[in-house]
Amino acid sequence: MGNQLSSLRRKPLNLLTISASGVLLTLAVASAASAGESRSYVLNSFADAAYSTKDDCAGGIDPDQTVQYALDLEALGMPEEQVKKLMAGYPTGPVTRMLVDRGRIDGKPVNAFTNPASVIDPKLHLVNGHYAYGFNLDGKGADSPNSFEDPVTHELGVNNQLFRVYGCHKNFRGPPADTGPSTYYSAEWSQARPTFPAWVVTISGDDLSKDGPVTLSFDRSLDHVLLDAQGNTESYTTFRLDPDPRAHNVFHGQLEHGVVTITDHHDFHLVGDPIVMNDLDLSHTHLRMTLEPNGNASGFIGGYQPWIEIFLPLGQAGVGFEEFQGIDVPGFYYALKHLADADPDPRTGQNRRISVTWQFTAVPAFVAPARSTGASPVLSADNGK
Amino acid sequence: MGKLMSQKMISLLSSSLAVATLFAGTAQAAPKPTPATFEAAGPVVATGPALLRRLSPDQYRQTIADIFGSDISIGGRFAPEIRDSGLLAVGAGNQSITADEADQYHVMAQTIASQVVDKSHRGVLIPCRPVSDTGADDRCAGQFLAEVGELLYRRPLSKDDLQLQVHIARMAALQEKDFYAGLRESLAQMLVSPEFLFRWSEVQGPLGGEGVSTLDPYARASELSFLLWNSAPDETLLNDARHGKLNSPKGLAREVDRMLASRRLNAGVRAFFSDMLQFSCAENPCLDATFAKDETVYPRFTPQVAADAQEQTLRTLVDLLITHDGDYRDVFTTPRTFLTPDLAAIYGVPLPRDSPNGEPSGWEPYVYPAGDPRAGILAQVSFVALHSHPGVSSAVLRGRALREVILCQKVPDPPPNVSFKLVLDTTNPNYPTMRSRLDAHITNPVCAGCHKLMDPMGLVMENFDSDGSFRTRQNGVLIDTSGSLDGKKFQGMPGLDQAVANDPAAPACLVSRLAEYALGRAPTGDETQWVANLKKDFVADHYRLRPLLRQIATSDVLYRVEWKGVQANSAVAPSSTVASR
Repeated sequence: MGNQLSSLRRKPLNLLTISASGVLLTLAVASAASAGESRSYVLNSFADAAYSTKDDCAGGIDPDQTVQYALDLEALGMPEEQVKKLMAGYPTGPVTRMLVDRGRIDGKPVNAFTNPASVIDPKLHLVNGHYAYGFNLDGKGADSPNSFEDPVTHELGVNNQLFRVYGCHKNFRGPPADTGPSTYYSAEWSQARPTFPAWVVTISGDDLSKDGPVTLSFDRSLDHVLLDAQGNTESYTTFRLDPDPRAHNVFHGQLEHGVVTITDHHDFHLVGDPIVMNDLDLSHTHLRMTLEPNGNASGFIGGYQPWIEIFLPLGQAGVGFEEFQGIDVPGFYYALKHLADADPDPRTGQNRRISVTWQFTAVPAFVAPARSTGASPVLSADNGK
Repeated sequence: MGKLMSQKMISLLSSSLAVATLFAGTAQAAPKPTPATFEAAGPVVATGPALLRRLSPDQYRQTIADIFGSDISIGGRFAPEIRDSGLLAVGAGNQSITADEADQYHVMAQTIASQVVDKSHRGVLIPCRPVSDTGADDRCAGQFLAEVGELLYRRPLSKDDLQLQVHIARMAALQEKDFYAGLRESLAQMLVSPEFLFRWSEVQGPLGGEGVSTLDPYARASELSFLLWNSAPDETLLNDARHGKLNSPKGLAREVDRMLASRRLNAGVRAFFSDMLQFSCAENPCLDATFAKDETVYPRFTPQVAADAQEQTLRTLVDLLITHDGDYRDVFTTPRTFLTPDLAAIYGVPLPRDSPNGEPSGWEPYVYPAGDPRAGILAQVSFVALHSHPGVSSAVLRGRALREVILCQKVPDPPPNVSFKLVLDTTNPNYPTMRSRLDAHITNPVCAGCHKLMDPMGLVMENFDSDGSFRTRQNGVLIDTSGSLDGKKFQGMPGLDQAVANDPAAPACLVSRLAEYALGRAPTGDETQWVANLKKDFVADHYRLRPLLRQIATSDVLYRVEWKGVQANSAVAPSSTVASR
């Protein structure tokens, strides 16, 4: 298929001037109307950018949740024997309710997921390795405290505290140290992908076969992705762009040796899906995207993201999240809060954002404006074909 | 004496007790239609034998939907049909019912009958209310069964037939203490009856010429309806049969015109082209035609794509030939088509649409720009993917299909001792393209003769991979799409499309196929001249399908059968009108 896609890309026919009404229209991209060439992609995968190495969790990997539950109950002052007896009945019996209500406010049991701060911090293990995917968000480079080195670009001063938060849990670990199942976000995105509006990225420039300045736009579509026979996002389908300006992001960037980086680092916002992530809301946005020879694209996007927005879908999933993913939700809350590294609340001083890096893959797609009536033009597509 | 049963039918029935029990009550003739005095439109010509044709799965489904509503589910499964002389419609005349198939018909009959009499449907589908829901009511049962029976059997039930069905309903109602259970059982029995499952050629007797008879009015109505609508006759058509209006050329023409003007004509046209273009091979792979694809090689060829592909072609054909009353030759070049998102992805074209956010998209009209190689039905997935191997495209299968399916020209089968290893090996760096592999293959003189008939056209279609997706290169090498058809050279799909459109064999093939589809067999005797005349008239009518259908449907030839008198072995079932003469 890679051969087919690359051959399509080189195809000289202009396929972009077709409309349902048969009217020939000129190609234009909303974000870069004067650009000579544009390529659009729809996201196929979106996940936490986990780069797990052998010795990056000095404190060890987080315990299985049943073990953690026992520790949580002991932290509430229960004798060990009582905890053992209760946990013997897990996941049935009265212990399940006790675990949901393991928070305490004024000594009374409260829901641990809607009141995570009422639970005693279980102190999840945190990553203390050297490497993490990401970007030098604060501009301090190697002097940046608690920073990493990117394993691909070898840039120093990478700010990615989110990886430090979840990277010692088995369901959030990735290659090269872990070759097991995909990480939590990867699995969630893969499962929910056909059920929510797609995310689309378009790169425009004078000639995308050469190095030079480009414009990058990120949009939320009105359409969902289609899946192929192998469960991957189908390429070359058409996506209408949501006209809501809040679903539209434009960045200037540079294409060099097939890799796009953005040169302005303003805010980024895309509405997501409640199951995976309500919104992708970044400040100090950084991006690195590789245009692959087979026509696909892959990359990393990072910035500072409100940590509470990362927590909420997990808190909402509550005990289900703990049981299926095996990570302690209040522990996650505390870790996010403690490691948040940007945007301090002027009143409390508590940082409201945490440095993050997400990785994504994308396949070629056509994009078009949402239309209200009758015939409509094709706004943009992969005219590199 | 009423209907006579053929040996074939007797053996068919003996295979299933469930079916056999239904044939006890056919001794008395059905109510007579208006006395038959047929006006022949032309001289009486020699004709072929009468046929007993099994309803196709689509005809079965459509008939049930027309009579009881499209919300009635069928259940069960249909056995694969038999293709004979290139058409399932011809194979239907040679198809019996096996014991397993009889079981499946029984399952379907019970499924359908149960729904028809259930509480959500009985108020609409049953025209009367019984005296009591918990007992038998011969009057109400008789009313319902007479109405439904006429629609299912495509002719009124004889008095004895109706009495038998009412009796079945009575016995079942008393046993189950449920009037509607009685109707259910009786209806289920009718649904497994050969009167329903087969199209009978009931005749009226000799028609002036030696050895020729004509179909009775109800059989005429069935011929018309299944040809034009792919379903059983509606009430109007049955009424016209009852009143003898189909006996005269004028009356017949009037009814044909009504049917040609109906939107239901689309179903008839779709059924014919589905048959001609071998779409049944998509569900039940044929020897050289399959929609089975290796999903590791062609992940975009999903089951949805397979379903959409056939629908795309049928929509394209109906739009051009019926909606726009267009020239048949244009089906090979038309840029107008219809796409779904899945199909658009396969073709690699953008498809903006209007469906609400998140709602599965429907069909969108689409127009290719001038010169686009994806225009015309030969470039559609339903052709290029159907005539490919599961893991690789096939210039040979496509070229052969073009000859045999589109041009009605026979290509000899390959000799049994030929190796195709080289042709199928897409990884050999010495032969990166299909053309290079075939060039090497046909250095064998045994192969070269037939390949000359197929390869020059098939190689032009190499821009389409096995799944129908568009490509310009194979293994990194630019695909050469030059080709020829019977000495006429061209470049690329637009050239091939135009060459086929210009080839007189293409419209002639359509006429031949449609005539065979209508007759249910190959033309015989003087019918061959009739087909030749149809071809001439098709040209004169600017290759439009409606006039061709009209000419066939109003022709005496369609309603004539060989007459050998009343014989025990005859598949013909003459009515008492004739038997008593």
